[in-house]
Formats: sequence, C-alpha cells, structure tokens
Amino acid sequence: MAPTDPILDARNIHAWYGSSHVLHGIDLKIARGETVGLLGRNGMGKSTLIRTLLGHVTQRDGQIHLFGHDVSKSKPHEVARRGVAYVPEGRGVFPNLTVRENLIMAARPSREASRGWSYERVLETFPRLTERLTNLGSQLSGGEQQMVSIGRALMTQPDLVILDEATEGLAPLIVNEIWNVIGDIRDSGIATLIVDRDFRRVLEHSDNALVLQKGLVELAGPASKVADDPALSGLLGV
Amino acid sequence: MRKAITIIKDEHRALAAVLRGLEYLIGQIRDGKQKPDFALFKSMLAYVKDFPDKLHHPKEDEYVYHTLRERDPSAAPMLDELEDEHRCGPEFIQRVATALQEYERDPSRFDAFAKAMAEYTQFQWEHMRKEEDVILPLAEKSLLPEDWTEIDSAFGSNADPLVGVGTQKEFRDLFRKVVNLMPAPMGLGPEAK
Repeated sequence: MAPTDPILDARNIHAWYGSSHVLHGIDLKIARGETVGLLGRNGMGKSTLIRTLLGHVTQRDGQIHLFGHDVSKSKPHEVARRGVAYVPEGRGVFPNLTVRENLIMAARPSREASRGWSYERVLETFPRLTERLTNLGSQLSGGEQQMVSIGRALMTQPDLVILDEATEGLAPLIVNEIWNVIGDIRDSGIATLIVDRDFRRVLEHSDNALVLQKGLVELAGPASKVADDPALSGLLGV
Repeated sequence: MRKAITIIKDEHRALAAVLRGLEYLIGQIRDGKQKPDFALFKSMLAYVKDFPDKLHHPKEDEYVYHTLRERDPSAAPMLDELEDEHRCGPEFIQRVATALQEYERDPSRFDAFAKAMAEYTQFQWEHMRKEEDVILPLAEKSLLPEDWTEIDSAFGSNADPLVGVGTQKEFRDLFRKVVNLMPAPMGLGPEAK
C-alpha cells in the first residue's frame, strides 16, 4: 500500500435491514490523517453506513478495503484489529466495569511510543477520569462517560476513529472540550470520520465531507465547498 | 469558510461556553441549589478576561479588521465600535472581578455580583453578535483572495500568529480546568449537593 493510498476505501456500498434497502451504492475514501464529516438528516443512512463499514450490518454488498486489506465480509472484531476505533452514539461504556477497566480492556501497545495514546496520556487529556478510576461506568455523568468512550477508543492505538454523535446531549463546556480533543486526535495524525448534529462545526473541522439523502451521496467534496453549496441547507433541513 | 473565520468562531464558542457556565452557576446559587465555588468563579473570570484580551482580539484587530478597513472604508464606524469594545472589555471584566471579591467577603453582595456579571455577559453577547452577523460576513465579501491567503496562513499554523504556542496551551489548560471543576451536568466536576 502506497503512503498516499486511502486507508479506508469503500466502494458501491449497499446495505439492507430485512427487505428495506437502506444504502444505495455509497463511495467513501479516507486518507491517512484526514478528517471526513458525514452529514444528513435523521434516517438518511449515516449510522447504517458506519455500522456497515464496521461490519455490524450483515446484509451488505460492495467493496471495503482497510489499509489495502479486503474487509468487505469481515466481522466487527476483525475490522477493529485493522486499526479502526468506534465512539458510538450512546457512548457504550460498560456499566459494571470501573473507569480503569473500561479504559484498559481494549488497550494495545503503540507502534510509536512517542505518538501513541497511552493510559497516562488519556488520563492527562481527561484529568477528571483520574479521580473516577474506581467508579463504575453506571456511576458516571454523561460527560464523564463520553470521555471514557473516547479514551477507550484512543487506547486501541487506532489509525481511524469514527465518532458518532460524540457531543449529543452534553452541555456547551463539555461539547467544546470534546471538539478540542477531536482537534488533538487529528493533530496526532489519526484519521477521523465524524457524525454530529452541529453540521457547521463538522464542516469547519473536516477536510472533506459527504451529505447523505435517502441512502445516497447527494453532496461530496472539500468541506469548505460543501459548506458553501446552496443545496446544503435543503439537504439538512435547516 | 475561511480558516481565520473558522478559528474566530471557534474561539467565540469557547468564550460563549464559559459565559453560559457562569450564568448557570449564578442561577444555581440564586435558586439555593449550589454553594459558591470561588476557585471556579476565579478560573472562569480569568478565562473570559484574558482569553479575549491576549489571544482572541489581537488576531481580529491585527489581521481581519485591519485589512477590512483598507478594503471597505464603509465598515470603519462599526470597526471603531468593535475595537473600542475590545479596549474597554478588560476594565468591564475587572468590575466583575471586584464584585466577586466583595461577594466572597460578604455573601450579601451576591446580587451586586450577579448584576455585574449579567451586564458583562450581555455586553459580550452583543459584541460577538455584531462580529458574526455583520463584520465577518462583510470581511468574507470584501477581502481579496490574496488577503485571505495571508490571513489564513497566519491563522492556520499550529502556533498562534501573535502569541505563540505557549499562550495557546495556557488557555487550553485553563479551559480544561474550568470544564473539570464545573459541576455536572454542565461540566465534569462532582454534582452539586
């Protein structure tokens, strides 16, 4: 794989839930270190696309390559092993595990110690978690849970992080801190795929963006061009 | 959207988040739901005082406003007004800091502190609204591509064009401290009891 090749190359992706055909041939490429924004109204296929890329949707078709490896038919744990971390909508923190256990359960050693996301670096980034290490996931506030979810994703030493509604339901101070952390993730050379309701912020922080409408890509390109496209407000219903 | 404008709006959001946090804390104290945390108040006031003054306004004045004056002379009255507001902001927030000191010494001074804070917050909302609704769109329309190349290049590096990485990190750390001290659900700190 050449350094300039996309780390994720998904082509003509289709997905179904039962008899319902949800995705109708989507193409998506993400380069190393690139930030891509995924936009669209509710029910247009954003989460299904993410779940399909991660191997969670079994009724799927099309080609998905990660770092040059064909993962079109791979299971979720096989996709994760290829360096993809997922921060799910709803956070997915294990309620019966402590913060420490939630963080270290998925930890992997970094290939580059100086750039990796160690346990210490995660706690430095989210200092509040240091005080909550022995608390159970169920005892955390929504903001703390989100920090655990992001921290856990980073400790897998990913090359690509997928953030699905990472700021949903959180207060402005926490939302702002999460966007700061997303900036840190980007600065550390990790590629990101971001879904968030604050489309302006997504576009401001992304290199490229695509807008889904009824399971099809209706708008795609450099984020600054997508932001200025007169069709955007209609597609997002704003 | 231009890189410089993205950064300016991002900084407005950070400032707005802290102002909202201050409004929330004052409301909680007024409703008897929370006791004052003066260390938190002081950290938040330090942020709203120093962040605009040291990092945010200089970039607006030196780069965007300065160039807009040259490209669109009709913007001058509004730019004068905004630059005046930049100048008087520190004095305004100092009055709030003084009111906070008095409140810390004498709890009966809470209303005076809350009033000073509300006036400052209103002033900042109005100021940012003028910038985002009038001046930034005007700049996007009036500045030439070569102006933006220069401005975006200055804004786009990791190091802030005027104050450097150290000061940026200082404010990032201060913001993080505020987020971690602010009680949940507004922040990551312990819930108020």
